[in-house]
Formats: sequence, structure tokens, C-alpha cells
Amino acid sequence: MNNKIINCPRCLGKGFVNKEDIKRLRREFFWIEGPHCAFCDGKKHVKYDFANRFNADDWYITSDLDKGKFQRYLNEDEEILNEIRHTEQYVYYFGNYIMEHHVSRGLSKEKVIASLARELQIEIADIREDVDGMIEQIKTNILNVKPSVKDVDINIENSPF
Amino acid sequence: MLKIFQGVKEDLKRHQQLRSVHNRVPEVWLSLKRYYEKSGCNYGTYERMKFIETTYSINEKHQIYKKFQYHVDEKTDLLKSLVWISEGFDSDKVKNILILSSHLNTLMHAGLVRVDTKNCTISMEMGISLLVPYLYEDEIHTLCVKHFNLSKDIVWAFNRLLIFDEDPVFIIVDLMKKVDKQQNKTQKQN
Repeated sequence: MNNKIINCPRCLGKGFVNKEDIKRLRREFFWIEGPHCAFCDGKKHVKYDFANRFNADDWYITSDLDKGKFQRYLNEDEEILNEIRHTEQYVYYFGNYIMEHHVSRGLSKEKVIASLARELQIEIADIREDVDGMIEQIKTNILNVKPSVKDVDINIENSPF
Repeated sequence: MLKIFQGVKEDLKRHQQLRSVHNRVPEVWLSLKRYYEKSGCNYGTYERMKFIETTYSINEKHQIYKKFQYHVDEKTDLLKSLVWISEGFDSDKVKNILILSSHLNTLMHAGLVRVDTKNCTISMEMGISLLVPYLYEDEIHTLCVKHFNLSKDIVWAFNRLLIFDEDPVFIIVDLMKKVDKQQNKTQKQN
């Protein structure tokens, strides 16, 4: 057993995960920034063995993960591993669908929800919350627009276009 | 001497082209297809309607894609470049969309934002007289690049309205500052 301690590869020794970490690890559809890194438990460093066994971008290891489920994951419980695989596929499908139809094609949220519900053959009410959550995640992690300026000083004569 | 000879040759070529100016529609259409064939990107050709459709990524990380169309328009005698900004917006936002598009149309020297309130679509187009690409084939590239660069800013502005639900006035202020910053950066680089 190697008991060596290394800097947390997820938060890079900060103890928390920010937008840059999310982008670096390509987990824009899965995480939001928070004050506590789940990979090192906020301790800024992890055991080498743990970092060797799990990837820093392991989306399932998050701060709000149920301890029982986490233990089953550590024990490589087949049911949990299957659930993770399916959820990962679902999240990717969901995120890409919203990126393609809401962001790229510019379809309204309601139209995206309706077409997604039709495609997945489920009720609109069942996916509304998921779509809202994913749109918020895309807004903060991918589109990342700075807040508006409040000083209005337009000079139409000098249009920069 | 060689320069003068080349100049005369070019003038003669243009003169010959002007004599068969009535052929500009099929000629520009051929040039447009040739341009896309050389470009190596994926595109679709609509032969009867004389337009080419393609998709370009408009952000650095290649996450946002927009549909672009290039059309040899016989009726208006223009080569048009068009980008679809929204293919179905929320009808509740129509008032703010019209405000933003009219602001943009006032500010843009070239290019026109069109809002179809019936089908809830937004597009931005730019056009040049068919005579220009007919005489100077390179102008097709110039139009495509100019339109693409402008569409990045217009899409940015509409995304803030359609996705972030921001006020059109603040979007315009931010956009002008953004474009000013880009221009200062380009000037410094030059």
C-alpha cells in the first residue's frame, strides 16, 4: 500500500471546485462550483492510492452524494455502477440536446421541453425540473456571461459595427 | 511594363465580362459552389433555389453552432448571406426582440436583422449586388467572412436576451463596449 499524500487533482489543492476546474475536467453538464471539494473532502490533498483508483473527473463523487451510496460505489456494487453508467448517458444526452436546440437553434425553453418529452415519451412535467437545472448549469458553466453594465452611454454616431 | 500589361489584361477581362453581364446569375452560382467545394467544409446545395446551407461554430470552444445560408437571389439581384439566430423563440419575448433588433439595425452599417413574428424566427442577413462577385470572385469570401464575424456579435446579443432574459438596452451597451474593445485590440495588433 502506498500511503503517499498528494495535492488534490480535482481542486488542485484549493479545497473547493471552481468554474475553471469544471471546465478543465469537462464536467459542465454535471457539476456547479461549490465551497467544498468532494474528492479531497475539502482537505486539499488526497491519498495517492485513492487518486490512483478514481479519476479526478469522476462525476459521481460529489459533495451531495449519499454516504451509503458512496460506500457501495467504493465497494464496486454492480447495481450502483449500472446506475452511474445510465445516468451519465442520460445527462450527456440531455445536455447536448439543450445545447443543440435551445442554445444553437435558439428554440424557446418550452419548445425544447415539449420536443424532448415527445422524444423520450414521457410527461412534460417529469422533465421540466431537469431541463431548468441543465439550462442553469449551461448558463453558468458554458455560456458564462458577465452581468450587465448599468451605465448607459450609447453614441449611435460612432457605431463600432 | 509587365504590371501595365497585366492591368490591361485585367481590364479586357472585365470588359468581356460586362458584355455578358446577363449571365451573372449562373456565373455567381457556379463561383459560390466552387468556393464551397474548395473550402472543404460540410454543406448542402439546393440547386433549384440556388442556395448553399452549412453550419459553423460561432464560439471559440465549438459549442454553439448556427445554420448559415448563401443565396444567389435572382429577384433582388443580390448574393445574400443569412444566419438563423432563432428558429422558434418564445412569443412572450417578442416585444424585447423587436426592440433589440431595431437597435441593432440602427447601429449596423451592413447587415439586417429580420424578425418573423408569425413563425417566431430571427435571422440576420447581408447582401451584395451580384455584379460584384460576378466581376471579382474573391468578394464571395469577403462577404462570407464579414457576415460570419458580424453574426458572432449579433448571436451573442440575442443569446443574452433569449437565454439570459436581459434588458435590450443593457445588451446594446455591453455589445458596443465589447465591439469597441475588439477594435482596440485589433488596432493595437496592427
